[in-house]
Amino acid sequence: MSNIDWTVLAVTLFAIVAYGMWRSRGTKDLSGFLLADKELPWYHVGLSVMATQASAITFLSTPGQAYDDGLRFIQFYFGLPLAMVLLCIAFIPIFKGLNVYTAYEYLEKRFDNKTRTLTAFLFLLQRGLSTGITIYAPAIILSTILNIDINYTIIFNGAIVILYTVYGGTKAVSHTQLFQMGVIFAGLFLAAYMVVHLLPEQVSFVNALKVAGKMDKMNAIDTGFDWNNKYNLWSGLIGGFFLQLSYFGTDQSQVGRYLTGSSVAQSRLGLIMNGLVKIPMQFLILGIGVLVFVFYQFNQAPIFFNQTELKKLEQSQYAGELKALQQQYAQAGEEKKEAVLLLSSALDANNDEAISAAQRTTESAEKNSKAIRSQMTELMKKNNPAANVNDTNYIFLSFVTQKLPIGVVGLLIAIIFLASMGSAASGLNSLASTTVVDFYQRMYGEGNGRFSDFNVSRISTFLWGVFCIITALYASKLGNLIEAVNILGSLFYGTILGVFLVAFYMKKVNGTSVFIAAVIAEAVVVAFWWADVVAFLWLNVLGCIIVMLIAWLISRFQKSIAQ
Amino acid sequence: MKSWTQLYTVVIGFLVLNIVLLYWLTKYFA
Repeated sequence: MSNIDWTVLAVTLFAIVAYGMWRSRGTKDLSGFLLADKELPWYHVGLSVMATQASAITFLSTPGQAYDDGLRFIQFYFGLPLAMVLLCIAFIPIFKGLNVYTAYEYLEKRFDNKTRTLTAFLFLLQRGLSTGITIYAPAIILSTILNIDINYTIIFNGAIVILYTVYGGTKAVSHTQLFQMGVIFAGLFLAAYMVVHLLPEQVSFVNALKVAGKMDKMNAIDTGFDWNNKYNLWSGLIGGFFLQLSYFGTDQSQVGRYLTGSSVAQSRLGLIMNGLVKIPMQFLILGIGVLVFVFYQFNQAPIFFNQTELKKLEQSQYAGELKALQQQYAQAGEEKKEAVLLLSSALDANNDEAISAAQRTTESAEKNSKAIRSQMTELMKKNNPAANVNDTNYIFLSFVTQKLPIGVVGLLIAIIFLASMGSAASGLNSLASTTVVDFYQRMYGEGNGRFSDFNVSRISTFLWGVFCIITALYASKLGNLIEAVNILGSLFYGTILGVFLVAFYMKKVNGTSVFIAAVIAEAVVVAFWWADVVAFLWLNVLGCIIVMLIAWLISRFQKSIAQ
Repeated sequence: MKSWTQLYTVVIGFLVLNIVLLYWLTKYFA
């Protein structure tokens, strides 16, 4: 990276963190620290909710996923707008009306302490680990690209987040997120413009999309139903709805965001904004990935995007074989480029026969390239069985650093850092809220502990930060990171959502029934995941339905005994 | 209350519009 890029990166990070700290100066009580005194307007709430969900993984993994797999991941977000509507109708008025700090506080009011503690504990477990991944994920990639030891990247990123979340609490989190999202949107549009600009002159934007379509990358919607297909219209609408409803309705990292709204209306408008903007935003990110794919059809792609792993192979006894494979790959790339150019001009001329012929040649060239690449990954495994042969997460940043002009590189790397910091900050703040409100205050009574609740909030933010940094330092290979986070969420969210839905809509069910139901549901969800019975999005539906069903059965049983 | 219902309808309508456009995109570029 050039000095200009380093300057852009440093100035962007410094300016945003300093602004967040300045805006949150003078925070000195629990309400200010955990709920920003409930005075934020709707656009603040909306952007903060979006910045919390959009972690660095979103910007690293998603374009890579589109490069490999096309647009179909967009379907994952179809349940989100529906979830936003239900949250506005049912969840927000209850949480705001009861004046709670955390979502779990409500469960004690409705059921009992053990149900509150169980859900709060499941949350801490899940969010503590996910926030660790949120810090680890970009660090591993940034360290490769910037050529810095991964441990330094993790500690640097984690330390900045700890600094401003401990100092300013929720206010600092929200104010930094406002600007983070501004920079993120600007950077995304710039990246989209640049990748279109870098396509060969004879290939127009529409033509590029047509080429992508012929190479199966424009597969946005799949209407077929299959329990084991991760992304189709139905799993996205139904499974996605349950996942997003649990995430936004019961995960304190999100609940804590919209509780900062100055009124029920402002909180609702914030979520509605999220419901409208999310799908177009994800489409933009996936679209960039598809265009990067098209770019590499006309330009030689590296045989492997993770340069660190590649270098290890270059320095091994297999260096000779690697070199031969690289030459073959370059040759195959040239052949593919010719085939794709033919395909592009056939598409331009709208000549069906030529299109089919060129498509067949392109497919066989693509198959050839893939075969050489898989020979190379086998070699990598042979050299080091623990080698990471999945380079999806490296595709986008590798493109950014190698192909984009000076200045833009620094800005896009800043985006990755900012996104990571935005969601990690919400994570830490919510972990601290839950620890203080659902455990510390519950144990000692409000304001009766040895230390003031405000100081405990600060200390627990710091300690959770350290925990997340340690998790990040020890996180091992997890394949595609965005999926790892979603799978982890899906293991717990369904059950937690089930508990909340019982609380809202099944007034006759008591605490013990829902507690037993939640324990059974969690065991079944983990067993289903372990046995790999259904695609992970369905685990959310499963957990939720089991809790509701068993809680209802137990309460019926109790009623008949009582009679 | 009525204005909230209208707003929710806009959100769901926009989702349907997104799905229809993406479906068209899938078919058009297939």
